[in-house]
Amino acid sequence: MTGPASTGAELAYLPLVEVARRLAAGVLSPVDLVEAAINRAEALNPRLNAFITIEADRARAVARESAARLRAGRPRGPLEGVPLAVKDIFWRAGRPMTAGARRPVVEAAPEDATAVARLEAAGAVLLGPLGLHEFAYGITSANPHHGPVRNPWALDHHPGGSSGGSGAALAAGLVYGALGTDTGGSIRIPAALCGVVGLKPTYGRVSRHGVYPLAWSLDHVGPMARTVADVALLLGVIAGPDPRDPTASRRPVPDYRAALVPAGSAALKGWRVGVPDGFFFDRAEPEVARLARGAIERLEQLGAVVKAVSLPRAEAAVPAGLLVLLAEAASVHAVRLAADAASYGADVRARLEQGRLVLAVDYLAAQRTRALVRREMMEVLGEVDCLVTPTTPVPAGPIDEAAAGPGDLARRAMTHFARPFNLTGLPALSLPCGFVRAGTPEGAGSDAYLPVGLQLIGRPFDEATLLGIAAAGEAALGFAARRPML
Amino acid sequence: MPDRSLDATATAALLALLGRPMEAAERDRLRAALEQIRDDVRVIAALDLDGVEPEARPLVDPIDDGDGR
Repeated sequence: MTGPASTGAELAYLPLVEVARRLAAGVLSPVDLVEAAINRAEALNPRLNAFITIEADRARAVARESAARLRAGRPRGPLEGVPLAVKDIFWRAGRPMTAGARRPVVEAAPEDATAVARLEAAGAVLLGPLGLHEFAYGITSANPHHGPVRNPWALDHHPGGSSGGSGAALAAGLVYGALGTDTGGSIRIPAALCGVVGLKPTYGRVSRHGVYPLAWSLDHVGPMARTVADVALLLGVIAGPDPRDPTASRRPVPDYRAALVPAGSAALKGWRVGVPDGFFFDRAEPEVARLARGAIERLEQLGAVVKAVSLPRAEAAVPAGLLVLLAEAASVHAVRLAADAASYGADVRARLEQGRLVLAVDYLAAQRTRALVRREMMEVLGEVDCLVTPTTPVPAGPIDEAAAGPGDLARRAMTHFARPFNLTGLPALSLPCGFVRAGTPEGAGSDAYLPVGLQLIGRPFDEATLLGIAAAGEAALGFAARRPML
Repeated sequence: MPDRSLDATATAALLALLGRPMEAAERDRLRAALEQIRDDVRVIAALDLDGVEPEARPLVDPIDDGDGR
């Protein structure tokens, strides 16, 4: 399963924290590293369609500036010279932003989104905008305007969505880290389906300023990378107060990397892990549930106390979250839809029109459900340090089916386990926990293997605990070193 | 099985919200979408929401509460 290598694969798959260390030590040059990343992206993107555009000349110029700062002993920050990319739903000053739409939503962004500005202020070199589901409103990234993003583990399968370009670029070793957005699983689903790590932080932990909205009360910005330590580094850079986003918390940002639990046989001794009964496992395909339970056993072997917990109202969070999403997205797009409905792809247009049929009384009932579900989850999180579930009930599906428009039931199913934590704003992380054969749930008929993700959910603003437990689990499970055949 | 039917008048009134002519097939698709919404609402309606007020945001950090934001 470990793929052979294209040229430069060893360098391409180094962890972000390791390339950052080598750059800071002068062992690597930003100019050489960025050139290698551009070469790899230009070679593989025609097959993957992870990037909407590779901005090679701009990246080279930024890399030269980065090299000069390092030579002068004045690095901007912990990402100095590191090639990254962001989903094409973030403002990048002076550049277009498509949000996955037929035409750019913004021809020249007035400024950087806050999260983008913080990456660049830390020295990152952005390679170009990454592909996504149209307007981030879908889970396949089968984009009718820019073409489908392909899953590096099986090119005829989708990478999940809506941050599918971010997941695919990471799995293919095109970038060392990426940003995504998550309204109903759009960071965690592609992370799970592409075999990388994705974190939806607590609502309010990362500013959403300069990000095209999908649903205001569900939208989150978060980091994606190939390792937990890389995600911890990125979160520390992008998190924090922002007066331009009224929901951004003023809470100080901890040192997330310091919270990572070192690998070891008793690494999780004393930690309490809650495993919800019912819904989160009953709705998963048997092989996915088996892999998730196997990963939980590994956490137990590391010393964690695994405890069955009950979240009887979590299932109601799925329809409640959908109603909130439908209504808020319809409001976000009301003017554009009225003026230019034909510019939308069929699936997104149908969802937006469906949203216009949600009554105010239904929207408020969903918001009341939000309060009820959050109360229940907070009670359970008083007894355990985190909850653990599968990230998705199924692995990635074929692009042909996705391009035809995933049935509403399929779309709902893929978001079942993720959506409750958008409604409640709790931090949630997806960690690779195994592989299943492509094709059928039992894997007949294909040589390709598809990744499966484990979801860890924590208390509000306690991303440090999630990252710590995930780091120990990652070391024990050993999937971070796997690479797709490309 | 739950009753998924919608009163015809209510259906027509809601679909009229879209404010444009529709082919029969599209009308059927939207009616199905509407029924899906009603199914979701029924799930929520089964909860005891008595005394529960709506929350416009997932959460407000206690650090930020009370400063007017």
